Amino acid sequence: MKVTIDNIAIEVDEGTTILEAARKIGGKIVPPAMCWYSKLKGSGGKCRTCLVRVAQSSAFEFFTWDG
Amino acid sequence: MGRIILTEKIGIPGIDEISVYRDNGGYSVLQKVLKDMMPADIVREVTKSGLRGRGGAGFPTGLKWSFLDRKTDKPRYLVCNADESEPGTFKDRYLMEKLPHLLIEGLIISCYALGVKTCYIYVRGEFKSILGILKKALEEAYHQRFLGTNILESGYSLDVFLHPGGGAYICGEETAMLESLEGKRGNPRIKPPFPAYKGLYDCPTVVNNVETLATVVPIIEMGGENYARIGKGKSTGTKLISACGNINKPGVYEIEMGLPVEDFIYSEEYCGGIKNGKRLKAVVPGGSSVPVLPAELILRTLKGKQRLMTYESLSEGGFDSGTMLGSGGFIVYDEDACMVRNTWNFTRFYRHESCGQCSPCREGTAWMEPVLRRIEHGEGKYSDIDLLVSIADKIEGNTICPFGDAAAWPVSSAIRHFRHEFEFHIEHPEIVKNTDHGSLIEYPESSIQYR
Repeated sequence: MKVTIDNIAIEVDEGTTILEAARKIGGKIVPPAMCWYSKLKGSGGKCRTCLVRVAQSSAFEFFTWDG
Repeated sequence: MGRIILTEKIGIPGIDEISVYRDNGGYSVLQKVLKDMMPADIVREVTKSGLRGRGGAGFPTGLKWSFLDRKTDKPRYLVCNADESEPGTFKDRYLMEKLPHLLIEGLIISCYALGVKTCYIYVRGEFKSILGILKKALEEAYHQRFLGTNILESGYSLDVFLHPGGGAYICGEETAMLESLEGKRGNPRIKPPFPAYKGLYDCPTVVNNVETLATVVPIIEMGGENYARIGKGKSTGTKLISACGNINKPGVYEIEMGLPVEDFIYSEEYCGGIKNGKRLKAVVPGGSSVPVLPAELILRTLKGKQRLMTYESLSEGGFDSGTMLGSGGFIVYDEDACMVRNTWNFTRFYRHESCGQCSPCREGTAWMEPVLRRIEHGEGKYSDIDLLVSIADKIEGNTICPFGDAAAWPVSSAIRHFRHEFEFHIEHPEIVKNTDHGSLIEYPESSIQYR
């Protein structure tokens, strides 16, 4: 599926989080993150430093951390 | 005189017994439903009635039910939210104490409508007495075959389980409640996925408040359209309001939506005016989590319109000059009440009850409490007021669950409307240190343990 972050479009798998998608693009658009560790189940979304504004999302096919 | 729909039978002696309840027309709606109505008809009636969730958020119940994922072959669950721990709110407790069978009847009808075979009632940990009442009521209902397998030969089976909570406020949040039911720590989940898709044990789940489920019974009895005619605009029907504070007649009242706030406070039928003939200072109309409003703004909106007891009218003016109906915990303060002390008291509660999952809420509530404490004890600085506003601003909207908002709103609204009191505390440390400058509000019995 296709997502657009700061006018940059990218193709990602379903279930990708916004943070992962942003990291895939890289550069300045990557939000800061502290509490997420990919190998740790249930981590992420707790410290709220990666909070971003979502303009349009179809919530159920796209697992977002922050609304 | 407003219409009494929900608590009509509450005065009948022994109504918590199933025989008395049945003699007074109880469970007749359930029998009618199981005989003549399809589940979809019930959902349609509830949608037509415009019933809004009575737990606080005011989300339309029919809409919530329609979100439930019906395509999966997983079991569906209904969880009844009886974890009423909001300071100032005690309406569910009253309802469950007096009319346990109304809740159970509403529960069975709702479960039938949603195709639910297993239902949980999550009762607040402090409600030990209510646990016993509900247990007895459930046993009676099982005995009379309103619960169990093949209810009244209709082929529909339902099991209801009581689950006492551990006494955490946060477990009143729906996803935290599901975590708690699963046996985990009561931390709210990140949404989406919403409980309607992945709730209890990863199965579609609906969580409804006690009052919401009980209201389903009169809705089916009188029909959704007739119910929608009661009330005003999008706030249909009646609502239980638990009034407390400096009023002559504290207690739980059923009001028709659209009653002017002024009438509610001053009429003999409801609160009966302010105690000892004092003047009204402020009102928190929906439990501790909603913004506090000063007297002139609660009686009239900024535009001069009379404020009514509806979801829309109370929130008119946004958070600058409005508030929310919330869960209906109506707290009234007279002129003697100290708003700083009150805000500090609320914040102390939120600091204690924050689950500690997200940083803004965990750290923010733990900061606001000492700052408010030192203002209250005459040790504050002028910059503390701005500090509080800044912290509240950073908590609000940045947390996983609405707890963060609930912790921030009382503080930011108290400063917005009663900044002079905060300044008085900072300017006159000797007065606030040595005298009892504001009498504490009277708490209903259910909240005494938090003081």
